[in-house]
Amino acid sequence: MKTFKILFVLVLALLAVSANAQGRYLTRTGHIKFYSHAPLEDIEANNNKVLSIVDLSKGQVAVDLLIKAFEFEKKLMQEHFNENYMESDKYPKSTFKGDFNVPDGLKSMDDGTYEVDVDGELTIHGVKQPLRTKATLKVANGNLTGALSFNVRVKDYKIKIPKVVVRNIAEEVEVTATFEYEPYQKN
Amino acid sequence: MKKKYFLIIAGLVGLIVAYFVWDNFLRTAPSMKKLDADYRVNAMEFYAEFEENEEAANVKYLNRIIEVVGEVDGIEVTDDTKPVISLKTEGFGVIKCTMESDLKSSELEKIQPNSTLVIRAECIGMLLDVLMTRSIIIEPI
Repeated sequence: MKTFKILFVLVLALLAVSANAQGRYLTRTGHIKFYSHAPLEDIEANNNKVLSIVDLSKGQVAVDLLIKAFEFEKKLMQEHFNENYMESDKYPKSTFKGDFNVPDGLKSMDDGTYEVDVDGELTIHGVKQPLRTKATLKVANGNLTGALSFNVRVKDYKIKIPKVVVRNIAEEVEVTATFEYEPYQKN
Repeated sequence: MKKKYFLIIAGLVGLIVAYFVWDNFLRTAPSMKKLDADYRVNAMEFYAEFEENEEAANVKYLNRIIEVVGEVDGIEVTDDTKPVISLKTEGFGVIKCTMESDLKSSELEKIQPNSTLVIRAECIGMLLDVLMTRSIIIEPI
């Protein structure tokens, strides 16, 4: 019985090492916030059901989210966001796929904070645009977290803002994202 | 006489403008309580349909009102978003239901892992988990 327990622990340890060795990490509860500062009002929305996979062996990252998962303080604002501006029935998802340089310490998951340059393509409202930004990846006790922020010009993604509310919505919205990853092993 | 007609016309125009403003800027979607479900499904079968063919499941369920029957996997309560109840599936993900409004502590206490719930919500798609929004608990009340 004791031998069996030791073997079981060894198998679990091997599985954990194998998952990390692949260098792929995933989260389904990533958080993205956008903030619009305009003369008449500030608008903030949160989405904490963001899917993201990061591959440290290849230096790749992918982020997927559903537009309707953004939550606003005001219900009416949320409806206008989905129906009038983002047309979320027509364009339900937003995605980002990018590449980044992987420092050696990060590749081997050494504790530390790593600044990386991410270069990729962001798709919003069915429009794909290049995006280059900086991200911070942090390793602590084998856990990987990521954070980044960038600005999005609504015009670049063909999001039409009616003139009547033009003073309520900023031309450029600030997007911040945080991810707490877990080792990923595909079944 | 002319003044009377003018006042009637001005009143009618005012009503039309008020209706336009209400219809376009102020009217909110009806509460989930007032809506009828398009489908009533078991959480495991519902997830399996998405897993098997996401495109076909999207055509069938996306933006529709669904009543999902399933066992509670967990509940998340955070400061900046509405509570989220997850229902178990046999796949890689769960059915993740974001509530229409905050739940009272007495309601939260009733929701125990492994207990069976019927949730009415709008299906917004799949991201490993199948995501539902504007959810309300139908059973047990």
